Amino acid sequence: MALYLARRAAMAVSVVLVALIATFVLFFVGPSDPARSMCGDQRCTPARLADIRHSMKLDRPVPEQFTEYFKGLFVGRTIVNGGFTKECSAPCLGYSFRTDREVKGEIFSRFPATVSLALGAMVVFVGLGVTTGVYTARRRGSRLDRTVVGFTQVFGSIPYYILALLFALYLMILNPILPRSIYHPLTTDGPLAWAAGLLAPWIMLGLATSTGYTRYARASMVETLSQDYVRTARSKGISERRVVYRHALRGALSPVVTILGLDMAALLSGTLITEQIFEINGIGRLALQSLGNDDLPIIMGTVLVAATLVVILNLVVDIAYSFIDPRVRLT
Amino acid sequence: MRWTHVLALGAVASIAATAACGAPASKDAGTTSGKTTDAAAPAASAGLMPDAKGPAPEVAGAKKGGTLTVSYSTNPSGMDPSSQFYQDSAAILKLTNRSLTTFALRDGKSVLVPDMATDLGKASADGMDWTFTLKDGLKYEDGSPVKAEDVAYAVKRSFAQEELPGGPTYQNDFLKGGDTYKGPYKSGDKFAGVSTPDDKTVVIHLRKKFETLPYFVSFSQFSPIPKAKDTKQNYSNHPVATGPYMFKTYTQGTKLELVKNPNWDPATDPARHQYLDGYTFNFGVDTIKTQQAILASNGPDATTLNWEAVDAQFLDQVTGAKKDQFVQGPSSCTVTVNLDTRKMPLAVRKALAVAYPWEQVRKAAGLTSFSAPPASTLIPPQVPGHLDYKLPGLDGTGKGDPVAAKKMLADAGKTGFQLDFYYTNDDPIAQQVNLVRNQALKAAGFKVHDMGVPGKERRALIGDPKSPTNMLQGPAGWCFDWPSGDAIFPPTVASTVMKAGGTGWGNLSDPKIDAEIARISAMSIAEQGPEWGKFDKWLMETYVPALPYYWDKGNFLFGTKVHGVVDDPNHGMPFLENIWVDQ
Repeated sequence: MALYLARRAAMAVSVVLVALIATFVLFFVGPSDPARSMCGDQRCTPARLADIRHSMKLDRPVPEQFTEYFKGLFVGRTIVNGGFTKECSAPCLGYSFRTDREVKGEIFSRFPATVSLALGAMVVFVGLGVTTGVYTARRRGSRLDRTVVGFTQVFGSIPYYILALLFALYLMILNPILPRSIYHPLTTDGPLAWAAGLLAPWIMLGLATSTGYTRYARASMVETLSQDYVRTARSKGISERRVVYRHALRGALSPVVTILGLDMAALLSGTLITEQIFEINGIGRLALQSLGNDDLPIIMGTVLVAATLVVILNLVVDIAYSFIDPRVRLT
Repeated sequence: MRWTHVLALGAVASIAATAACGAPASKDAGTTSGKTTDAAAPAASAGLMPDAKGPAPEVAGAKKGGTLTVSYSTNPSGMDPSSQFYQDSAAILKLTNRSLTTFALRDGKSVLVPDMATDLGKASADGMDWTFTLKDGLKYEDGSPVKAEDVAYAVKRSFAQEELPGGPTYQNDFLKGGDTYKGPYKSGDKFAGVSTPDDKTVVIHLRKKFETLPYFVSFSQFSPIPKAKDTKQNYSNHPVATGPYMFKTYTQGTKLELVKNPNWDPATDPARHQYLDGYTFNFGVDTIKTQQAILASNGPDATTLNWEAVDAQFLDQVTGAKKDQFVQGPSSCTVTVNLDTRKMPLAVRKALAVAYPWEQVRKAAGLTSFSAPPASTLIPPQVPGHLDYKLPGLDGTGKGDPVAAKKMLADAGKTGFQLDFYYTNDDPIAQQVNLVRNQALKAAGFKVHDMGVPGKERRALIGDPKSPTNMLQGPAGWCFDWPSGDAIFPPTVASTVMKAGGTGWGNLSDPKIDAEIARISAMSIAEQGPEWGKFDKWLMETYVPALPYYWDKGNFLFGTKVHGVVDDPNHGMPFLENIWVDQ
């Protein structure tokens, strides 16, 4: 177990490192020029552009810039921006090119919104998806089963951004049935305001994501219910309810947990479309804005968070397997 | 003034896509017409009102209370009065930070009035020193008095361009010692460009005459900053207010909330009101969804305003049933197709103008008269002294005349002249525009060498004076910083532009142009207007450095409970301080 964890941790670090290097290189290889963005379209003389580039340290070799960035993650660094010197403590993610705010603080300030959105949506899509999946699996071939499966396929095949836009437009804007989406911090504004502001995106994101979970859970449950150990349990006279929820469901959940781990990593890294359409100022929106602004420190920060979440949650999923399914052993 | 982020992303995208070429066939080829306007004639011209006093005249029917929400898609990079140079942030800061002068609405016109100063400045006999006297009773949001030294400190701080980049640089050119002074952080407090003989007097010392200085001192760079409260790069988070509103909360890139400043005295302010309880600015929202919501005006959307170009899908509504929720007006920008006079002979430039398919590119770019009326001059019509001339083929309309253009090329011995330019190849609209443009230009006998590059890369390439192109180099247009030709021509056609390594209209470097600019710039503001109008026409007749395409417009869409929205033609933004809402 210890060896397994050590190996996975080493792999996780290497994945994060590769993601960071790739992002850094892609940024500089691509047509991005934050100095040009800062300089504007007018009066941007080469001398002025060079000044801005110098003050942003973009005139230094890319490997040197990356080395300093990477070093800062572990020991912090001193950042000189123009004439101002700033100490950036470890893990130092730098300062935004555009707003001059510390990236770490910027990401942490946005994280609660993204976490709130992701966790609320998870409750909806896991609850709804697994429940309907199990329910339809037990009534395989029935009219209800065919209806639910058909609905999930149709609903799931429509591009999410279209569904979300229409949902927001018709249920929040033109006919304000649902409260207007906005993130109210749970700690300062209270649970009611928090939940009301996130209700619409929770429902939308939860419904859209649940279609996949319904299908995963149903397929997995159908397969599990045909396993020998389930038949054995039934032959022993164990009640159907106990067979389904105690024996079969546990085995059927393994693929669902795998998908859940990956989905949660993606959601916690920022739900770009949902946050943008519902105007929730989370990590996804931050990433989107920073891409538009060529704001490398923010882009790097969001990539670092996303990569770290993906590897951590993958590890968590693997470990969770051994508890959910006793047949799996970590070696 | 830089274009707003809105314009930078929207209009410039279309500029990038479309700005490039020629002009339509003119039915009255060979004739010109023209009339000179003065400060009083155009409906929205910028006159001077040096004796304006506070309080500002009441807006008819205005009620007090409520909050106006302004939602738009882009994000100001900051709110530091020293380093902001965008129209959106300037409009916002006008609510919180007063300058020496400012623009006010009088009888439907935008006029320059004294703000914190008692008048529009008094020039010395040689015009090299300007004295501004501060009014009595000016206070910051904390109740402390505004002193002349705070204005001087703000002026000095605007030179700290390495620490606080992004602001204008006129002060470097015009103020005494401005070419070497690096701001108070690097060069200390000793600066020859500004002095304060007493607590009420600010004297600006110039290194060359600057007759339109009263306009420039309306910039937020002349808004007082108490040295003791300068939090350097963090000052952007809460600039100390002198206007009717002050910052309550500001999350960069997301939201700004303003509340009433209890220490603002309306008796000292001839431009602003305090009708609203506050303002909320939401940055980075989806434009179409916001405009849809405003048109529906449910709940908080009824008190929301958006200042982006109205989306084409809503045109029917804003010209029909919802016309009361829409206001449009001039902005300060003229969009052009830039030509390189060094590489393209005059006869070819004229032929290109005649060949240019304006209507086709306008249609391909999705431009409408609401956001892009055709332009025929480099100076926008609302600027005092604008000369309303029309040269053959240079009025931004028509489908182009390939037959006439082909003949012009043949007469000049330039048949098959190669046009080299960059176009954006990662934007479908730009590609479409390029397609229709190329077809028309080839039909007129030009050889077209279009170089497709990604949009972001194109921005860098067109700013390089050594780029292998002969048209469509930067700038793709110009937005004046104040309503005078000296805020349009010196930065675009003077030889200093090329000497500084930049690109300008025509990439000109001609002593005759420099001499004419110097001659007109030395005149008084009133005298300059008509002279700049004549200069505009002379420049176009003599050089054809660029083809006027359209005059950009400000579009304002607002909820059913929003009132008093009027365009400021000098900035293309609404006079926010005049707006009131129903509760």
